[in-house]
Amino acid sequence: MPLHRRQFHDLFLAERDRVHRFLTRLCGDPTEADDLLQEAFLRLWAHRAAFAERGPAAAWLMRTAFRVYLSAREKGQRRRRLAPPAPQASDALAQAPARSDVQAFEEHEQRVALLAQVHAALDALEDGPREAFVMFRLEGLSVAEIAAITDLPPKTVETRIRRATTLLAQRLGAAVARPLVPKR
Amino acid sequence: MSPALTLERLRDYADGVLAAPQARELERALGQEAPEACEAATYLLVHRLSAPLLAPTAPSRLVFEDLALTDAPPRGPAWLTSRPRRWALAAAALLLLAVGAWWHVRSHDAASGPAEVRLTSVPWTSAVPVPDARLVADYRPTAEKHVVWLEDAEAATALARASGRPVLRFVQHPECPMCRALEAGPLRDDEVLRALDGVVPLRLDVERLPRAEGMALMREGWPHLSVRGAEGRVLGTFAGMRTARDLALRIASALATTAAAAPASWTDLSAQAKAQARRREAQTALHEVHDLAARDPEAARRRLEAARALLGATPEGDDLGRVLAAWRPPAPFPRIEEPPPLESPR
Repeated sequence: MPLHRRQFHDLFLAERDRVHRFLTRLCGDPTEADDLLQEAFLRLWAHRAAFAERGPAAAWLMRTAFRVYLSAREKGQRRRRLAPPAPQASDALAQAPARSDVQAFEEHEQRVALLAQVHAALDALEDGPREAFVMFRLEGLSVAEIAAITDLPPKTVETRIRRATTLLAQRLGAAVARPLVPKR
Repeated sequence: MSPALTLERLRDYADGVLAAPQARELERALGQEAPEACEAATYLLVHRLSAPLLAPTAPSRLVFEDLALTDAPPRGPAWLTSRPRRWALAAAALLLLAVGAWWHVRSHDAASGPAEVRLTSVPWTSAVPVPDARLVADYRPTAEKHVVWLEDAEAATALARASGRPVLRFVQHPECPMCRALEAGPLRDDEVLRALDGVVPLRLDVERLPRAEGMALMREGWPHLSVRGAEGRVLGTFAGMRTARDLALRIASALATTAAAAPASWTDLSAQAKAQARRREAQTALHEVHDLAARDPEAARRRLEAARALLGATPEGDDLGRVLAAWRPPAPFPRIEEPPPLESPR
């Protein structure tokens, strides 16, 4: 059964922000993520005849978006870096406390420095582990969902996440000074 | 990996959304000194450090109208339009084309009958005489100031026929001092050696001749030399010890009695004999392949290729190459046409 324009419109409204965030975190640029998003939706529309054969539309859209991102990455059109946090959402980091509150100001400076370190460490990873880690940690996807999106076996996805974790821990080792197990 | 320490449980635990019993189980697993626990602790560390990255990203600016959807008919069903399917269809079409072309060529070859090949050098039906092995091996009657004597009368006669020269027969005895003196002196003289180019030298031990013939020769003089045609006619006899000059003149005068034209040089004779050997080899190979072609075309073709490689870049090798080029099994063996008649070597 083909996908009708009204259904497609509903799908666009329901999934646009989620897929855009997904692409932004992969490619590192919200504007470029919009380009990729548009291409993904157009590709979906072009193949609307096979809509019924591709399973749930949202999952199909994520797979398509990831393939569009991969094509762009292979063409070298996208820089590989993590998206910076949106200005309105990073108030905790952007709005520094008054310099008169010396302790608060120092803590803020440490957080900013740590965030820069995390960005750099993630950016230095190979493509495969970095993408798996971003999907798992930042997008909250399960290993099975990532495997479906990337067309990889779940074991490979797990290996990539663990590799990314190990490398990040090595690169951020100096920042370790807090208890590992969070207080419950 | 322990079920308590899967990545998803660790993530839920770090986010504080793991159920209490499972959280306790995970904490117990973390407390053990195992590589898994260490790896899990590493994940928890990275999970905490990467928390600031969860900040929301900038919202999308894409609106539905930007998509500018067209109502062009959707692309065909997935089984036809997906990339792997398209490749598979293209490969299948190419395979069909190749099979069709092969079938066409095969049926055309089978239907059109044998090809025709005109040879240029190798005779197809007429027999090629066996060349004298000595000529093929570059025989010369003299070498480095001595005579290359033949010891076999039949071989000398055959060579005399093949070369168009008479035989110079030297009858001697191994213990005869005059025979040795003749060989060591006049028969090493340059003038005599030049005269010997026109004969086939044959040296015979008198004891191997019939006794009556030996006695008769001894009465004529010792050592005994004679020039005889290939058919056995005596052209000149000169017995006893001779000077080099006298020997050269007598050989020359004996040769002058023959009416035949000057014989071909030994170099030309060798070249002709080698060509003859090649023609025989090529003809034999062609006949064998012709007989074998219907029963075992592959073996026949291998035999022909081997003969072609052996003969190399010669007119005979080129003839075999023409047959190979014209013959594509399973088509029948080509029809061979005789080359134009060869010129006589003499």
